[in-house]
Amino acid sequence: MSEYNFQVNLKGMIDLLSNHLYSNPGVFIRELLQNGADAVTARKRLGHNLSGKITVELFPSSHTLAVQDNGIGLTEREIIQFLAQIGHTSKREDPDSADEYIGQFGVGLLACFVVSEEIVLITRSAMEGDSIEWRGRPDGTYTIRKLDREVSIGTTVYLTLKQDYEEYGEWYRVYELLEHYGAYLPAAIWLVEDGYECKVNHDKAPWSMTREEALAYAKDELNLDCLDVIELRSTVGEVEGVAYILPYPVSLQAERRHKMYVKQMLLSDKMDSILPSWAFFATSVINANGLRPTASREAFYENDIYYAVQNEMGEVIKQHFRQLAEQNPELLRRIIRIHYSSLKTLAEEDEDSYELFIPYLAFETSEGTLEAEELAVKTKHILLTSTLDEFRQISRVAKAQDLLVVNGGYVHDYQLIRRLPDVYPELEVTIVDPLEFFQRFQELDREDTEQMSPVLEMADALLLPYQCKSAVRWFEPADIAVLYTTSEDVGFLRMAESGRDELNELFDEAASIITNEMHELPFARLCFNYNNPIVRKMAECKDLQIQDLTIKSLYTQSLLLGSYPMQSGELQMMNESFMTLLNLGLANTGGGVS
Amino acid sequence: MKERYEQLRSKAWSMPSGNQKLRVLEESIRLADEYMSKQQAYDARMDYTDEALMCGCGERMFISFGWCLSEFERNPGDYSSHHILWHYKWILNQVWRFTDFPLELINRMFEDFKTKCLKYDYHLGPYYKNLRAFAMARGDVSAAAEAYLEWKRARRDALSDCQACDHDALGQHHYQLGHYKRGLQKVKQIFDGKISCRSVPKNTYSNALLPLLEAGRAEQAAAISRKGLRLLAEGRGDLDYYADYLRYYAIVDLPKAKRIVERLTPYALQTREDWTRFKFLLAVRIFFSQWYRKKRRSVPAVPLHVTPEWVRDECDRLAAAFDKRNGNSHCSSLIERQLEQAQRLSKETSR
Repeated sequence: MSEYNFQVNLKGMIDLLSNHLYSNPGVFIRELLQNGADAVTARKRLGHNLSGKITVELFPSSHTLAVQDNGIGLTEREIIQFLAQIGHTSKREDPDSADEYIGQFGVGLLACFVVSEEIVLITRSAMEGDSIEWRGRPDGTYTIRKLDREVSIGTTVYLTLKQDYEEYGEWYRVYELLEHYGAYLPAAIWLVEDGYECKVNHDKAPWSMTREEALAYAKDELNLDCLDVIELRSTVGEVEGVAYILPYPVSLQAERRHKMYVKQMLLSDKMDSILPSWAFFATSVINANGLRPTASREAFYENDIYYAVQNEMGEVIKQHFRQLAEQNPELLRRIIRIHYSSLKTLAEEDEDSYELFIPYLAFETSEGTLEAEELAVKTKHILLTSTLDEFRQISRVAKAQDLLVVNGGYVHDYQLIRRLPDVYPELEVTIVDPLEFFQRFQELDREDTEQMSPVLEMADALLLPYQCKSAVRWFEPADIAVLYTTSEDVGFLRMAESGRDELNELFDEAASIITNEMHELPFARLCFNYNNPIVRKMAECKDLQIQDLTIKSLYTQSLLLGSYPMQSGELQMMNESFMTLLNLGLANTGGGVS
Repeated sequence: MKERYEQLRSKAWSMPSGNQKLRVLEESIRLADEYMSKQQAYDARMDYTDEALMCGCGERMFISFGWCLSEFERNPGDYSSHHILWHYKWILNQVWRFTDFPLELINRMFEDFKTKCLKYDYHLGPYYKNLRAFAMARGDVSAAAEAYLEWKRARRDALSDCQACDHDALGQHHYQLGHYKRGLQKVKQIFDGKISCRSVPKNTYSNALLPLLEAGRAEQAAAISRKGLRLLAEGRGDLDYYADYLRYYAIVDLPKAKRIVERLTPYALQTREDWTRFKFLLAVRIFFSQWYRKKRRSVPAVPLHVTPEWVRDECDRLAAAFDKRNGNSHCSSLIERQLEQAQRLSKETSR
């Protein structure tokens, strides 16, 4: 039996790694900065007293750039071991362990082949004396030679940019990339061209700033005039950062964007999940030393530590709100007003936050928008509707009966209101059944009931095709002649009915099982108000045609007022009754007679 | 009206899943039917089909999808055969979950799907995959094994589910046969985060909890449960998954199980999907059996009529309805098996 080795096509591998692993060509700058920063860390570990420096020099006439660091440098043996072996890194033994280095996969230098046909690296190690030149090409070949002259300790990488990549040697582009990735690196970054030099990185990172400095940073760098800033700290994952509370409401669907640094080097400015999903009111700038980036270094492995960090970030934010409630309730109220939908999500899923936020959260009620605290002061009994339509149906009449109805139709509101008695034990919350709501009104005496009975019979007959039954009660306000209530299934069942004749045999059979056996079509309710003069007149009227017209008009008008979809029969009913009533009115006043 | 129609659809797009969204889509369908073209009525109903499935109103899909399928049959050139068949797979995965649908109707739907796959030049993998799930749900292991083999033999094509979903289903097949370790092996790639999609790892995590306990990997189960629970949304849509978590927590963490019962039971009472209701209430029954093993326990805050006796009767009623439809006693014996399993695992884990 013979053993063979796989042959790897190095050119293809390099192409794969360099062109496909990274999302844009500019990442070579990040990789070079990273190598420089790690080299400085390594040299400091040897006990050398130095201030780390990375210098990027541009030579526009030859489209060349040189990235130089004063780090540990490489010996010839190390070059062969690390630079020439893809996947071999000098930086750690165990890739899962956290240490001071940024890089870990040994593939970073390959990113340079995206923009350059050759990498020239000149280095002298702090460990031994020789100055060495290494030249690597994307076909996998390389040369090493000892230089006659002695260079200073550290490493310089020279890249001559390929055609179409020349912009990566221009001042504005390189400055932008250096600042983007390395603004907060501890080693000083200098950009040099024709003797002019300029320091790129900032003195202080947002996570090391005071509150005022951090707010000013948000204004200058992120163009955000934030409501508040929260200091984030997590021992798990060694995370530090700031979360800014956005000054405008954010949609639930909006993309979350957090700026994420690893060991002070930018990992991504589009990180979406480092804060818990409910925290969409905040954007953050975070530095993590103990989280593990993926090979492309544009995201993290979402492992247990990652989730632990996410949880701890959530706890810190909640703790901040608890402090605000004690120290600055006015600011908390402002934040809640702007971010109520986000905070409602949080309050719903977390019991502590519920207690904290609920007094300030506002709900739509039959008496206008009220905060929960105001609700508790106003009433001891809340009626809760489960949909917006139910609320619309009922709130018009509730106020006059001294009933307080809350709209539970919006996302989270239903659950939040249902739990109110946990915080306000004296409150009672009842869920409204819209079809039975009229039962709360005053019944008529026998005489009036008898008078209305033929009207109800006529209405039931007229409205049966539209799945509606009638009733009569006395209620306020008097100007409402009828109250139409229906259940949420009606919309679905009407849809099911309207498309029935277009179904094939198979699905027609399924549809008939669904509409007949699974959903019992509930009857809508048209409740006449005996307190209304028109209703009383209609009851007293002896003309059956007028009664018929009045019922039809009141029914269709109530559908219109409630913005209910009308079936074609109902539309026809509305037109006919309206035109006939017009005709009658005109005939009575002698209209049409010239 | 066109503007109003577009407005409604874009409003629906930005709304979270739920009843309100269905109402908005119902209104857009009504407008499309009355004032717009057939294509727009078709699109609106396809959106509705997606949402009905998402928010746990599976029965409503049959109405909207049925209309689209019928329209597609009349004018096949106007619509994508792939799009309609893709949704048809969801229908097959739903149809057996309702006790009111007789076997004969279910079989006809499967046959109709098969005919259409062949007509539009797709392989039969998805057909057999769904056939397997249905066979397993009614406890017909040999039919499930046969369908499993056919599914594995079929060539993958554009109608096949994604790799992540298929691996997840492979895992499930083995769990259902009691081959827990083999099943867990099948989903290893998913656990490692190497493959995922819209529903994976959400469903993989919930399916794997009990198999992990059975395989003696309680620590991993705990880790997976922490990760997985975060992926669920409160409401009817994820009730099926919650049932798995409830069964699991009823064994390892009763206070947590109690919270799930309190939060989710109202949704289980609303759902018309019999299988989901059965699965969830059976998990509640398991929870009650563990919860009241110690005396002087507080009563969970659920609607008053949801007593242990009511839950027991409701489970039995649903199991009987499934068994009557399927012509066997699988679901009734499933209740016993799951109760016994919970008792055994709870003893093992507390040791």
